[in-house]
Amino acid sequence: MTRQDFLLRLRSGLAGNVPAEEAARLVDYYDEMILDLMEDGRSEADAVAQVGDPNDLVYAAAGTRPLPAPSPTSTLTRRRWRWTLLILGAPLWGSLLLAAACILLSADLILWCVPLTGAGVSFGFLLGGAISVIASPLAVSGAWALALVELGAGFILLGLGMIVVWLTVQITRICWRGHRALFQWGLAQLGRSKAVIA
Amino acid sequence: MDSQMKKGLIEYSVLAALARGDSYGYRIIKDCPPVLELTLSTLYPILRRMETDGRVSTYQQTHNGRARKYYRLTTAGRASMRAFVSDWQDVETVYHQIEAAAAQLPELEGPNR
Repeated sequence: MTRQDFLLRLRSGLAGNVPAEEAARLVDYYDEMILDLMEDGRSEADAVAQVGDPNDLVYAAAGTRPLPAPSPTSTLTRRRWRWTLLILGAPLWGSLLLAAACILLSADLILWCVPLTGAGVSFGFLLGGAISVIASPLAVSGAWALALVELGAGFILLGLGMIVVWLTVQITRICWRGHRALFQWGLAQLGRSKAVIA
Repeated sequence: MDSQMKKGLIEYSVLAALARGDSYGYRIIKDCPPVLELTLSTLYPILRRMETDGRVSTYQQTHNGRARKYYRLTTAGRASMRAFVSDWQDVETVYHQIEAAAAQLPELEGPNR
């Protein structure tokens, strides 16, 4: 990103979210920082990257600026307005929220498909192996070779089953971490302060 | 270092950086100890707050054909630094209490704990 692009995005993001005077001060501050970094030997792109993402700077500026203390009457009126707008806008934000929740749930289900498949495969191997081993003495009366093959196949299946169980446990741990990260990210989005970025 | 501790120290470190003479944003960051991990975005609200409460004043000067904002330590800023230094006696008292307790920790840790 060039210095001009950065300043344009910062200026657009700050407009309406912080008072104009404060926005001008912030833009001047970061512009001065970029120029100082460049004077110190950094390339334009490096200097801009070091200053940070303009969106994050806007969020920080919008979240920390001191707001005038509202009067009790205006607070009540604002709260009523907020609830009215919230209810009127429910068809829009409600459907978007539902869609986002469904996407999150789908991602989580896809995540758990892997360990679930592993559990199914390992269960099949272990069950097949156990039946094969237990049933092999019954085949002895018919043919020794058949019984031996059945016993061997049973042990192979049991071994494969144990390997898949171990793999499934490892994958489940990774999935659990992924599941937690996914939902923590989802919850963090709800609490994150919002700003309109042009 | 603990982030809350850093938060408390950064303001005074910035004031200390200005005690040597007037300075500008980028220079201040370079003059503060790296352990404080002062960044461009964390410096702005600190300077802004100190400017608002009168601990620093600002002026602009032309540098290489562009305007650069300089910060100057005010009388209130000097007083704030002195107050911090005198308060440090109390911090040291707490530190010694924690230090003494920490020295006892290996003896307290037994198989039943």
